[in-house]
Amino acid sequence: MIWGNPWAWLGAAALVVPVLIHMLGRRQARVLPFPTLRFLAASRLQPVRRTRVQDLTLLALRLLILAFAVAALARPLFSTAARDDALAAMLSRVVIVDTSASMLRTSTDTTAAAVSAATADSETAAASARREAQRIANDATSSIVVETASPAASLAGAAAWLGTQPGPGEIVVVSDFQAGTLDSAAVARVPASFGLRLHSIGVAAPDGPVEITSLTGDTETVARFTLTEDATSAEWFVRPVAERSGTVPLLLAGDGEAMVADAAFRAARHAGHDVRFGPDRPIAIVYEEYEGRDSLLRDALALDSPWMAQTLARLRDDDLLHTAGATLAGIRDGGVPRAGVERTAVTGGPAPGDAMTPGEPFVGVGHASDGSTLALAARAPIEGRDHLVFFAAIDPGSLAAAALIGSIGRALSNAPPVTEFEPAVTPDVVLASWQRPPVDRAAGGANTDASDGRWLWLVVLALLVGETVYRRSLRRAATVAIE
Amino acid sequence: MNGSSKQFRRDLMSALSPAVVAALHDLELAARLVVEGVRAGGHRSPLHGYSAEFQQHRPYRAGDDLKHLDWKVLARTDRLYTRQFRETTSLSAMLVLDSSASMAFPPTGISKFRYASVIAAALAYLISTQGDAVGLMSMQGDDFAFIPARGGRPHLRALIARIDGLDPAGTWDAPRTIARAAELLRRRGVVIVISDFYDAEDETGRALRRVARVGHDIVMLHVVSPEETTFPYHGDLAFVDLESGERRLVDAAGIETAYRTALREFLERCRTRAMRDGMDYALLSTGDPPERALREYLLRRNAPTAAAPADRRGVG
Repeated sequence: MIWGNPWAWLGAAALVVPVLIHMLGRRQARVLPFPTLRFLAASRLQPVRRTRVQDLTLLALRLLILAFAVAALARPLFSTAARDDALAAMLSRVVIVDTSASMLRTSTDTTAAAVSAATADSETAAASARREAQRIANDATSSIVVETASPAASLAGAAAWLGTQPGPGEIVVVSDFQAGTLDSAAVARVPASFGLRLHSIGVAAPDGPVEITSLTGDTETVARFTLTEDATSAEWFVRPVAERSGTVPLLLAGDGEAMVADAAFRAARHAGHDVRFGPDRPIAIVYEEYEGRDSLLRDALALDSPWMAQTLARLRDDDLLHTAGATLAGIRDGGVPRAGVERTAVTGGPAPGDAMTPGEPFVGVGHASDGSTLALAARAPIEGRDHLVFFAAIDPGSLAAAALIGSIGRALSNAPPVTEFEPAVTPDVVLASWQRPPVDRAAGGANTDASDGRWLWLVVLALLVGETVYRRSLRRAATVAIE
Repeated sequence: MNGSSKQFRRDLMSALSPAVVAALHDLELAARLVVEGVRAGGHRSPLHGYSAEFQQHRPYRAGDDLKHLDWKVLARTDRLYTRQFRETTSLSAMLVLDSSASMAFPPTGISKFRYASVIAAALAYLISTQGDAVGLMSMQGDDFAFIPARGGRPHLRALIARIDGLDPAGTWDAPRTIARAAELLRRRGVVIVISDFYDAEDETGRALRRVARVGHDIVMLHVVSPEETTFPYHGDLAFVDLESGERRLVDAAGIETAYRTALREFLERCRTRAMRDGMDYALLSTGDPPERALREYLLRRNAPTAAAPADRRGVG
């Protein structure tokens, strides 16, 4: 049973009215002419309350009338096998699979290698979710499967695709539904004509603590969080920085810039960002006063590695870089403009010493508030090996430079955000309240769709007739039998 | 009148139920049917006065009725003389008909007023056809509806038409109407009051007693309906007085016993008062066929009783 207008059940409060009437009301006396009242003078009307047996029957009839009317207004839709089959026969479905880190988690080791290994593991929750998603998708006439780390953001696109499909549409979300994965606001944005089914996949809670480190010189401060569904405990301690080979990007700066560029790198690490650069993903940041900058610009090539494209895609959405870009303009306005930041319209890539403007093969990275680009990215050979090279257009000693380094490090990292360790999940009862069946839009849409309320209205009519007949029979019983 | 119509009339008379009476819009026809129903029982009217007055003797002729032969003269003179009489209207009857609103009950079926009208018309017919005078006194609003007591068929028709034209409405001043009817009856006669006697019980009784003392014969025909006597009501009812319009809420089942007791006492009081004052009293129910009710009353009146008043006249 599905209720198209559950708010109508508020009308059930009207059931109190006939009860009050029957409890407090009097039967209206029938008027009868009589020759004289002289022999009725001694009589007195006794209070008659509607608590007699026959009145209880009348009350029950009236309550039933109201209850069925309210139920009919709530637009019920009875679920039958035939109706479900007919609905499924023309159903379009979008299956959104949550591939966030929590779905990939198999252990507490959050290193890139471990997560990569977990991703490849066929027994992860994500793998199970994918199989389930495929099974669900196969039940529909037309369907697509979307894998995303943020299901809530994908709901709008799913709804848009369903809008192009004939017949009813349904969105199925397969996720572990960590707290925050989906909220009522996101659900409300899905048009009511589309069904919403939430398929919960249980995942193991992190069985170990989560560490967040910040580097200070040769030591790092570690915050170790132990998360459970009931409580969170934190422990801080300092330990020496473990020696990691190849974890520093290639910073190519001029003589005057080397010190500040190194300071910016340290600042980025000190700010708590786990900047780790792997040897298999070589990165170089070229500052403006680097003497080989022009030749690198000339030798720049288009990106050709997936990891480079992924890194740039992540940088595009990096909040830290956006924030740094927004503050950069203010610094410039304060009278410290950087040479080369002022730009003119150049197409086909910047010439050495010219303005920095994205164009083949360069990709813009970060924007200041005035629209200028913070850096250009391209592929360039350094020491005989292709690097992802960022041609910075900012002061190497600025906060923006540190932010750039930190953001690049985060983009390269596979470490999941701390929120992915959230052990609490959305309760099943809440998920159930968000779910709704698909509605056949051909019948008029969600707000005017056909319901089985008409059968209830028929019952109401029959009860009304019964109530009238019964009321008249009561009246006849009290009527004078005149020969 | 052909045979089939006679048969129809006989059938009608044999079953002159209140419903049939109510259905007969022609009051004269209803009265005739009632009277013929009374006569079909072989009863002579007890409402006889001095129907003939001696005028002279004449010699007997063959064919004269021997009952008119003067046997005393025959004994003295040995001659046959026949007594001759002058036909006169010797009885004057005044019908006093209650036309108050309380008589318009019950609202459906035959009302007390319709029943009383039929009884009054039948009595008028009966009295008139035996050569006596009959008149009518009633009240419409504040005015009397009066027709003096006379004989003759044209007068009878006028009287019945007058009865037919009455409408039960408002109240009536029973003592004044009865007293006025007796006043307008020029000589001693019969005052027949047809009413439910709900109005001014004591004053009405006194008025009737005064009229009786003058020498008039008083007949009280008390009309009630079965609804009044049986009180077949249930539930909460708002009774409205037909005359005053007063409304009273009652629980019918709760007051049924008290009502019946009060009504029975009232009827008994009326009957006792009539007997005490030498009046004829008959309780007529609209549920009974009018000709039967009238016949039974006339039979009772005609029967010799020790309690009959000394001044009752003209029996036979």
